[in-house]
Amino acid sequence: MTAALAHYLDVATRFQAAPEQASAPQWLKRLRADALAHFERQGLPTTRDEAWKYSRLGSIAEGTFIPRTGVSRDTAHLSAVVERLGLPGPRLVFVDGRLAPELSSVAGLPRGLTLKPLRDAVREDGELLESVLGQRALANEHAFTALNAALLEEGVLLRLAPGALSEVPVQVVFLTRGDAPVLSSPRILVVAGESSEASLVETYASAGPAGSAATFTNAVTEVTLGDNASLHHYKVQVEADAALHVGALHARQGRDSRFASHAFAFGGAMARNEVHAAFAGEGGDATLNGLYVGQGAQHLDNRTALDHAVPRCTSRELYKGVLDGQSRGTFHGLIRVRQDAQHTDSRQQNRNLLLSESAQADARPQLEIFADDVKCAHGAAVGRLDAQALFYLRSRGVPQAEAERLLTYAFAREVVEAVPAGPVRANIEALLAVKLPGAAQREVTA
Amino acid sequence: MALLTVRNLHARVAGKDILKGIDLEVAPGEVHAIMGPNGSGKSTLASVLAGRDGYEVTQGEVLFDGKPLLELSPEARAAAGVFLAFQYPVEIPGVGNIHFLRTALNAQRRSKGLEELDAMDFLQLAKEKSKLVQLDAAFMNRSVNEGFSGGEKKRNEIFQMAVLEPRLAILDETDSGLDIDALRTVAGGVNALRSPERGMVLITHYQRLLDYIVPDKVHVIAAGRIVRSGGRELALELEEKGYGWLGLDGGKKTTAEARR
Amino acid sequence: MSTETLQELTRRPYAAGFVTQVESDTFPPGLDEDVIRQISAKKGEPEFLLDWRLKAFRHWKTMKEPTWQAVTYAPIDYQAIRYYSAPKQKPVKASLDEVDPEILRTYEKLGIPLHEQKLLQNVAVDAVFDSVSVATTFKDKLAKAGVIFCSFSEAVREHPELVKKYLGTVVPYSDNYFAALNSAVFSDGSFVYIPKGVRCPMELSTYFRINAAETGQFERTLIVAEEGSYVSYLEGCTAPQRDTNQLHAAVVELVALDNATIKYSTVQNWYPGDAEGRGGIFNFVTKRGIAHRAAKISWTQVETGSAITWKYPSVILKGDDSVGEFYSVALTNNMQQADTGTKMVHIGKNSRSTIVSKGISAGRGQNTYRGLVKVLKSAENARNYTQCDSLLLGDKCGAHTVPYIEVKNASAQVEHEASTSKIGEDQLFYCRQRGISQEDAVSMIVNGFCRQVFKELPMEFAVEAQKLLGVSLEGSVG
Repeated sequence: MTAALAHYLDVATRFQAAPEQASAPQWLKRLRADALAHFERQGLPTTRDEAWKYSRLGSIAEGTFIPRTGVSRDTAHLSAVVERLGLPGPRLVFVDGRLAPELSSVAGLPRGLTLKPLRDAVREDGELLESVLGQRALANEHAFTALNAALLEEGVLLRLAPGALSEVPVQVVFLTRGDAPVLSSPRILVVAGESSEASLVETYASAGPAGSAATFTNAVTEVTLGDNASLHHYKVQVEADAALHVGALHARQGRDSRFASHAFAFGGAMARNEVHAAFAGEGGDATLNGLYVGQGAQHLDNRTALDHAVPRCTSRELYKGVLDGQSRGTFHGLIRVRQDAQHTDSRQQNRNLLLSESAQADARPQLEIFADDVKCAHGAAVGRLDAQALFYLRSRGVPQAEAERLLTYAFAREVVEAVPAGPVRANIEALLAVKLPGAAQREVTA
Repeated sequence: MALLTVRNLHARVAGKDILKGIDLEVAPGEVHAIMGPNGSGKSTLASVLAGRDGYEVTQGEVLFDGKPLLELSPEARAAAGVFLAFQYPVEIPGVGNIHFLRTALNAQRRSKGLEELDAMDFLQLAKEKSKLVQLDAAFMNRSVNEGFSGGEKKRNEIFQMAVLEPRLAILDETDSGLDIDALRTVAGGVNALRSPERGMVLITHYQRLLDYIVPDKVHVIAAGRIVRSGGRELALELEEKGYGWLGLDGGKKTTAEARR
Repeated sequence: MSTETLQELTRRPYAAGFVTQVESDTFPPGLDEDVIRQISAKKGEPEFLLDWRLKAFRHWKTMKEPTWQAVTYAPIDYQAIRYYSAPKQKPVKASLDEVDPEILRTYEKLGIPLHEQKLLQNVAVDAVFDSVSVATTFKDKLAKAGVIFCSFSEAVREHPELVKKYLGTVVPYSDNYFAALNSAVFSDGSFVYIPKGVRCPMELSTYFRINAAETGQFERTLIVAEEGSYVSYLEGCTAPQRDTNQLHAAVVELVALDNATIKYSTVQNWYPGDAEGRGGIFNFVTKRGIAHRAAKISWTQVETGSAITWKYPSVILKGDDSVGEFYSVALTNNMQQADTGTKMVHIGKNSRSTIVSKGISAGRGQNTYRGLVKVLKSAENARNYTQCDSLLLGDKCGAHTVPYIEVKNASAQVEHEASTSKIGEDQLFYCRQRGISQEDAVSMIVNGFCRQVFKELPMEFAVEAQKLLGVSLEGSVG
């Protein structure tokens, strides 16, 4: 056993044995204990694991990260950070993996929506939680999901009653202060009733000064969409350079449901983002979009998996990477079309823009098609800025550096523009402008 | 006289009885909603009325305008004025949307002994009708339904209906899979096409549609039979209680649905 | 729609299945060095060509017939094939009046009139009947532009330096089993030379007809487009209806020098065999082009005939900024098998290739797309776009897509799209529900499916191709 594995096992064992966990419901205790066993059996993944072939764990594998306990207090001074990152409207904020009541507010939640901390939901919605928690994200298949479940305490439940409509996006914000090597293990649950519609923004950011300690966030999101329900999910990850991030979203889609995932990965030394969507009823539609922008030594790792298990579902994927410095971006997209899934219509695109000689991108589309009446398309590309376009701009008087920024932004904006116009998009545009400085501001707001 | 009369209709698919005695009468100008849980026979009824292959009628009859409908080919039914808005509109790569629709309209006009519309007149007509569902000109030249989003496909169905001006429109789950904005557009198009001469049958899985298109009559179909008919209030009752109170096994529950 | 109705829709009469009665000079079956010497002697070939043939033959004897392709057939007895058959007449025709009227009538029946007054507008035709070219039209007009368009035999006699310079440079005799066999025994074919900067004033076309029984057809086509020139070349193929299989192993070599464009279109309608799979042509063809700097080679093929089709028109994208294209419609019906596709080998910087393959399978037909996109280390910024669509008519046919992608340069962009769909239930019912008749719906759907390829064909051929598919898929609607 590696020292890191021993460390995480120790952390989780202590957590589960802590006195304050004695009052946890039996089902939760069992779930945590089972997850711990699964984690121990699987161990930390290595590049020998097919799903982690292009990944590197960095200091996650050194095993120094420790979870915080209790509620995060003295967080009022962070409200400016939250304001800058977030949008008006209902939100729950977590600092170093612990709920920060001072920063949170669920005022203005539309009728039919419930947004509450997971610890409250454990008390109040035990029956519901028992039926969905760990049912989408399986601890026996994913080591980090198992670790998350073994440490499961904090997180969010977003519940939509049948027919509920939310015009304002619901937000959950996860901040790390960077004053200690903190391990956060949030779990976000979304349960959407028939014909309900909502938007959820998950934001991950660091609030500490530059040079803060590395933190490790290991997040799991489970989405259950009822028939004809619709969820727009946004994940905005803008953590500090030293941060380590592993996130996995698993969605199960009912008949005629729509799920749109927009994942923006701008931060972190190593950030792995997984999005898994499974169709459980006919007529479903999934959109999986992603934009990863890496600089310095960042390693941005994206994995998507679409399970077309039933007929007549549609999926669209667009992942784009902009990689500068010595950064590395990977995309591994699996589309599985099962034998019964006739009339599947699936398209996947992955495009990478390399801005430096040492930046690197790996594209790995993987299509497994067992049905015979389907449309499946995939495209993968790794390229540099178009020399002719650059020359054209320069010939019109645009200086080289500015021309490069202009073209880079033009490349990235396709993913941003797939976000419906509104405050969420404006917010992402602003964050992208910070990440890609000098991108023409007029372009941004146009 | 009724526009559509369905009497004791029994039908089977792949040897399995699906419809087990449907009775339905739609008068001109009426909008009927047919609701029911998964597998109740809603879409089978639509397919049988439009003449899809593979559905065997074992008993009963269907009269359209007092004449037997079931012996006609699908294209003859279309020419007679039966329009089906498909639950899953079909993509036909390489065939322009506008070319397709003009071919269809002219085939129908020929069978009625009317003169065919030339390309210019047709384009004029299509432009006019496309406003109804806010389909812009770019859609006209794209291949039939190819690369259309779910909402665009459904709007295209209503656009075709507007151009073909059927006497009976059967909308098979036209609301399924639509976000609220698209649903409003589609419903607006359908409402605009309501007329004293035209009958409509809305087949739907979700009560929500009836917030936007108010039917004259509501029928609940279960296990191949219409088990309950009433006015709009029946739909409201269903929303509140689900299908369970009708004693339907396997009926959907409203609140517990999301938990599965 | 039931499978039976689809079967009826896809029942196809083969219109070109008649036999022409002509007196022929035909070799007895069998192949050895003597046969090759006789072929060479018949044609009065220079020494270098005979040597080349013999080298090819000796190499062929060391090779094994390929088995990797997804087609099955009974073993071919190469000693049972006649390697030369020519209608008896003077080898060089002073005018069309000297061509056997039976042969002229044959081409007329096939829709290819060779008489000057009836010629296809602006299309020069080289007619190859069994092993030899029988007529070439519009030669004078072409000569004025400096274009050489003649039979391969004539090119060997009149322009041996050009033949010697380019023959085997794109497809060496050692390339593959069937190319080696062709190199040893090829009897005729077409030769095209477009001088520097010349835009060929008309479409060039060769019409291949296999007539004699038990003969193989081994023609060889060589097209050289000098710097900055342009040529559009078409070929059509038919054969009589016979119970036995016949071998057609052709080689086509294209050389597009800097900035030149060669557009090569094929409408292949060799006899496909009957509904039970008896007879039909084995169409084992090697086609390849080399595109030099900023040159473009575009292959368009409509493959409706042959019992077995085995061909991969390819482009070596040698020069920077060179372009390769492959547009294909392959229809297999009854017992037909097709294993076809392309190879795009990117060597030059910014080289681009496009592959659009449309496979239609009906009856018990089997259709395989096999394509290689290879980007070498040197091919900075290479681009490829591949689209493979398969249409199945009925449930006893098959479609298979086998793409090979080898990328050695990370700046390459390679995109692949694939779809497999079944015509029938959904699309037909959708059309009919809108009031369109079944026959109109089938032709609308099939033509729509093939539109991307048909629009690449010159007008005359596009019409012929549409008609061919029409004939294949029309018929009695039950």
